[in-house]
Amino acid sequence: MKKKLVKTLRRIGLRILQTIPLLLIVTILTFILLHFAPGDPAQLMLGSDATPEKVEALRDELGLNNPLHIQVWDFLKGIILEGDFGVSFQSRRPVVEDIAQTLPVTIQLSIIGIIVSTIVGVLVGIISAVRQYSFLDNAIRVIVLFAVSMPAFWLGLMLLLVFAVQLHLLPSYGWGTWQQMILPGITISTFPLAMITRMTRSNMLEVIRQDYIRTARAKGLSANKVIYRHALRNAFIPVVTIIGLQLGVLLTGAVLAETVFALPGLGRLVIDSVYARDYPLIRAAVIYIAFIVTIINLIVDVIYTLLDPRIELH
Amino acid sequence: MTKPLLEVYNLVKHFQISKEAAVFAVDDVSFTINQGETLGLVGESGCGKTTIGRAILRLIPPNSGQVVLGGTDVLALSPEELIQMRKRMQIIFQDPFSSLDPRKNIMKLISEPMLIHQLGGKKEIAEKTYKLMDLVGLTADLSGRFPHELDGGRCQRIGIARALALKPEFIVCDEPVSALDVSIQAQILNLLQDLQQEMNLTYLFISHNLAVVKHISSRIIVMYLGKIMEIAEKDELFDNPLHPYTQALLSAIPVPTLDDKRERIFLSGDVPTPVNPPPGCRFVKRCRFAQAECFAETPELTDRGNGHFVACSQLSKGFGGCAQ
Amino acid sequence: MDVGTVNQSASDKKELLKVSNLHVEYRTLDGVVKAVNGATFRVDDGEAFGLVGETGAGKTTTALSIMNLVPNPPGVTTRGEIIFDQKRIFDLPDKAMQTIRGNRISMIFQNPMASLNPVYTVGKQIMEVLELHQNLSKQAAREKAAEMLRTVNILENRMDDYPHEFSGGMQQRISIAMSLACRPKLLIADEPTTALDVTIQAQVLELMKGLKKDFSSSLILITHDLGLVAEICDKVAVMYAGFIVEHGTLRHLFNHPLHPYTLGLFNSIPSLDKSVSRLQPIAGLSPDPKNLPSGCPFHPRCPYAMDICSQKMPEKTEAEPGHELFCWKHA
Repeated sequence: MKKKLVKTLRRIGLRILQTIPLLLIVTILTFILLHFAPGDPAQLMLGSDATPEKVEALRDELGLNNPLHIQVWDFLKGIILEGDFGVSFQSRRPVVEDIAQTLPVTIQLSIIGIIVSTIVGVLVGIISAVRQYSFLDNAIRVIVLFAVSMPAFWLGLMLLLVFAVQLHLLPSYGWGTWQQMILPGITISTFPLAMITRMTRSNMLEVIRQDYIRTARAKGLSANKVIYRHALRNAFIPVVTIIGLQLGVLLTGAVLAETVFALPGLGRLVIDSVYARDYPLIRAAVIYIAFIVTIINLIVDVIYTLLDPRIELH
Repeated sequence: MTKPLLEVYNLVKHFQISKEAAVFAVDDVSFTINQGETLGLVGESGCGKTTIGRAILRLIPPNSGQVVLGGTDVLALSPEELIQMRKRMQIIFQDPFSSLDPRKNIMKLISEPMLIHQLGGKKEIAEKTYKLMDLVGLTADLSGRFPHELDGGRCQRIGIARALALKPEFIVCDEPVSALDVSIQAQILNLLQDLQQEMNLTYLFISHNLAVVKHISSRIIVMYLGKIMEIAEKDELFDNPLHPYTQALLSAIPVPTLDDKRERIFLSGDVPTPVNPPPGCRFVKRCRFAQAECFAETPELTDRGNGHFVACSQLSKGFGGCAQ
Repeated sequence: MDVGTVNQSASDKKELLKVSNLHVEYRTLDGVVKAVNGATFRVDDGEAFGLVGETGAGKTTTALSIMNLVPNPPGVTTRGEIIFDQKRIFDLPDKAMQTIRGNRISMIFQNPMASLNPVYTVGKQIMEVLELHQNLSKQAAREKAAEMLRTVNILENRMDDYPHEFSGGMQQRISIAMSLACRPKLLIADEPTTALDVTIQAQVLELMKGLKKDFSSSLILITHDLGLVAEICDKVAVMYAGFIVEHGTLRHLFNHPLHPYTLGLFNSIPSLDKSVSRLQPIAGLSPDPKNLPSGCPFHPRCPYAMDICSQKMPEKTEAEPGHELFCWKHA
């Protein structure tokens, strides 16, 4: 038991170390892609009627005319030596501050989203599986089909229209009060909820047919105990991957929901920075996204090994 | 004077599972099969019998050794030559359902080998397919059916027809009846015997079921953990088993008669997997006659006369502790 | 289709289980599968009863019915009664049934790897049944579980290992330990050794014989292997297409089997002692349980079939005391 723990911890350490070269490659690739992408940040900042000299001057100032490898080297030096990820072209503030400012909103929204979608999704999935072919099961499946097909922005707008505009029940924008969290929360939970419900349902259906479930019943366990103690424990394992995936999506900015509800989150920040060709902000955002995705993958993998004793961490 | 059709010399196949560990599935195995003969290959899980069957046909590439079919070394052939060679050697698999492509109907399944080797035009091949179906006891109206619509027995007949399509000389039968019901088993065994007579086939019959192997084989090889423990003519093996493992195996089979007066020999422990086997006899950990030298040297197969070979150092020393 | 009771001279043995005229069908989208069609038999205290048949004969459904575990939907018991220890199984509410399962009646299944939950340790799975039925503390349950493992020759230090870390033979022994932990009066074993190697099969069988004696339980052994039946059973019933076609003591069935299907089974098996040049298989295929033949279900494959066989289901014939079959040829 102890040996396995030590082995797992060592492998976790290794995986964390592996993220460093990964982030390095991501950074360099981003640099290269941005360098060759159309659009000039200086031009965008000064406007279309600015003189070419002014544009060049600004480009020099921003370091955009340096050779690519110098730019990369300067950037990496800044990160490693000073923890400086650069300054945003738009706000002229360190990008770290700009991103940090949006994180509370994004993180809060993500937590709401993942908790709601997981709890509701798993429960509904179980019900659907246990009562397969019943009216309830069919109704759930139709609803899930809708949920999976609805574009998030459409759903957000509809909710806005009905609850905020028509019924005046809930606020239509902003972030801070719990009332403001409801509509965006519903909007971003819907798709993950549908995915989790589906996965839970199909896994439960498969698990219920397994021999060890029959053994559990033959031991005299009640139907509930069999479902929650024996079936769910097994069926839930692949669902963890989906939850991780969805969490990753949410943590890196739910752009559409943020746009519809005017939330000052990471998604909007990133999109705006792309339009403005705010290279430092884009780079930092990409590094952040890559980091989050990698860490979440690692956590999901570790949880897998904890849930399924047959699996060892790579 | 029967001459050997298949000769296997020093066949080795191991699977590397990690840097330090390898599974020695087939560990220096040699035997011959005469034309028209059925050689039975018995053993429990991990003995290597399935691996041998596939290694002989080069479905799995062996690590070393020679496999000579009708004078040609199968392992030395180039890929193109091997494809031609496949017409002479075929295999019937254990699970009739998983060995048939569920998306192909019977006609396609049986005619596929002939189409691949271009043994005629479409109409000709279709006719040949119907003949094969008749040969294995499938009615022609089934040609459009799919495997999942049929029972295990019929699916196995499809597998047999497919194996016969290229008119091979040698067929590896890898547990062909193990997945079938008892009454169907008997049907298929009779079919295999009839086909052998009609088409002068040579079989390597692999199975864990000793009664079945005894019925259909003329000679039998007993394997354990990748090595041959004993070879003998079938009656000789059952009347006079010499190797301790064979004796235990025979005593363990439940027989459907009352008043079974056999001495029951119970082997302790489980059937191990042949990972990094230590030197010495493979059977030493479960053998009731094991002595010191059994742990040190691997016994060779010695001739006890009448084509009966045994790999046991206690026996070679003149009946040490082995009961007769 | 009522077989009635076995001869009275054996009634100094107490009757533990009585299955009467059991009819079970599965209502599926493809049609109604008639799995069990009137099975009647009894098992006495301390007796080993063999239920023999091939795939689709209805043996597993019968076994599951005894524990009222036939999945519903799609399984429906349309007729019949099962009395265990003087209780009517089908009248019991599920809560009462739960106190019987794993406790008074236990069952082990064919595939040992698949029958154990892969995410819980072996010790925990045995403890579960002890904690459930015997109200033991965790510590007491753990000790008892270790003791059970010892009786099946598995070392106590493996209690915290997971099922996949054991071999097939050991997994089956663990299942046996789990099923006997509460000392049930009846153990149902559904093809317990089919997935095991021959030498391991012999080990497990020997173990079961010993435990049956030590724990004084009755055994229903479901199998297609007549050899196993000869090893361990006292009475045997042969099932075909959901019907019991012949039943009697071991001697009855092995020394003079009468029903053409039983005879066919014996003739299909290659023998270790006698050599035959050709086996005598039963012609044809098992019937489609969605579409059973009229009259005697075996008549399409029976070498002795007469006109009446396709018209009427045979009535019970007593060939000798305690040996009954359903066949017009012997009527």
